[in-house]
Amino acid sequence: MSTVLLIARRELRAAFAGLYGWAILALVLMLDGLFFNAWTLGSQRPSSEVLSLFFYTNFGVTMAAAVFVTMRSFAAEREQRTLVLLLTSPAGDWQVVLGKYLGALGFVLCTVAAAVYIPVMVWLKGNLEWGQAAAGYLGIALAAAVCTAIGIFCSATAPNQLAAGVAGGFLVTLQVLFWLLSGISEPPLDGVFAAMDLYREHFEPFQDGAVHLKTLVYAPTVSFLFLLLSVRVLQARRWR
Amino acid sequence: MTAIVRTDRLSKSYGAVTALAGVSFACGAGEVVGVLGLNGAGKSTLLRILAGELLPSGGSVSIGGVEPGDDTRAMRSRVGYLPEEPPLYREMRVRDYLGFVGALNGVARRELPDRVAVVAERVHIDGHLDRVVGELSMGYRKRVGIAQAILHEPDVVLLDEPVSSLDPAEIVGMRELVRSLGGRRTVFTSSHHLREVHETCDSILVLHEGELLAHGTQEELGVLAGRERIEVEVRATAAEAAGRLPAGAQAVHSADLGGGVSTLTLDLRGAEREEVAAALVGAGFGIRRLEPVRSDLERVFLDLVRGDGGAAGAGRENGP
Repeated sequence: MSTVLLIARRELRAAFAGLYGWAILALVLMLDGLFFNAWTLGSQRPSSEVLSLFFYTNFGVTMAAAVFVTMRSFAAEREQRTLVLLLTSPAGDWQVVLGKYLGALGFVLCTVAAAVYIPVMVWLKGNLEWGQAAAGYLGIALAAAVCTAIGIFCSATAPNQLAAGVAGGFLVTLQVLFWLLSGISEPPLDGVFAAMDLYREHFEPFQDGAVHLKTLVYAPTVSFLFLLLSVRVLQARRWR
Repeated sequence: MTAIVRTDRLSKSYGAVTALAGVSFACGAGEVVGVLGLNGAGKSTLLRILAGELLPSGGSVSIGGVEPGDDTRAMRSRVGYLPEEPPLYREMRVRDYLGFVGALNGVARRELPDRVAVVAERVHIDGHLDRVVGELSMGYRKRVGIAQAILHEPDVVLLDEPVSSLDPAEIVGMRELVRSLGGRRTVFTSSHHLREVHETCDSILVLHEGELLAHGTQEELGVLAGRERIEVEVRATAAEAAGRLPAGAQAVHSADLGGGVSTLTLDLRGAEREEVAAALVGAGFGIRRLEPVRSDLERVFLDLVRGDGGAAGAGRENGP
């Protein structure tokens, strides 16, 4: 576990060491602030609705942040030829993938934490429901975990950062469009697609304060699946 | 010889392209081994397999008796690897980078500062530990690369083209550094610069189009290439001595030293040293000295490669 944390800590520090990480953080804060300003400031919405709208926008922004952060993870190291350092170390492929995943997820959660001033404003100026806030942040964390795992997989697979970003963006978008596929599919496929949908089926209840057990199972399962695929990709590259 | 690195019919293919084909050799502890070959000969592929970055398509490799199939991670912990492009995180300070690599390779946290200091002094970067890696010259980056490769005190150090992209002064420093790594650990250094191999290595692996053409010391390779060279000091004029040489011995250089003494440098292509000695003594010339001359590596290498060796895997006692 110490090797995993070692790699994760380096990933997190690297994200903050360059302009790229700070640019993502600034973009997240700007988008969160703009949407909050446009949709809620000056309106007469109740606090719970304001918070729900904040989590709605923060969900989308966090998904995008996860793609932008993870597209560099393996692909940039491969381009800069530093990945060999990890691949020839005694660290196992699982430790490498998990370390990079936790580092990227840590950065994504930092961007989420940076926008905590908005719920604080709701608390100061309105009537914050702590349960809804906790559920919303839990939902965001679970969604971030899924999107980060997808991004890690794409970064491990793609030949360069751009391809990783495009593939990650596509797969993450697909996760929130499954409900469309569900609507035009016949049983039993419609149920399968609905269950796979990240937003409608899994996150939406959290933004309104409802914690669903099925999402607590769904998010770790999908994350694990994509991390497993990432490990397989690394192993396959040793044989290529 | 107790082999620390051993390969047996090692092969590697990238799709339809064969990078290594049936490479077998064994190297002992403390040797500095040059891996010599033209571009595309399979040098980097061989080192990447030894480092554990790639898995072979066929055959086997073991480091200190450990094979990837047994315990890949244990094998990797016994190896330090510097690829041609040093794997450096440009945003980190040298000290932090070495600390990270050391921890990654299992060096205990309390030992890290001392270990980093010792290794930094060894590779002459102790004055640069607090500099950001991206600000260093290529020569210093290579040194940091070597530092990360030896920080965890591996049994085997693999250096892929360590002098590429270096200026002449840096090349001299790197040559001394590589030479100094031998003795305590086995060092593989790949190059297509013959002088580097000549200056730094105890033995040489010659690869060509994925095959091992020869393995041995420079003298042994000269014999394999059909070109053993000796120098004879004889009590006769150079012309007299040259006229009594046996078939298969050709004088490539001669000089009269005065007093009826001369030296001849001979290429032996089929003739043995004993035949030369017998022919000269039989002609009544006293032999004052007869010794092998280190062959010119460039010619030996070209003879092996152009002639396709004719002795694949020959030289040292190779394979398991």
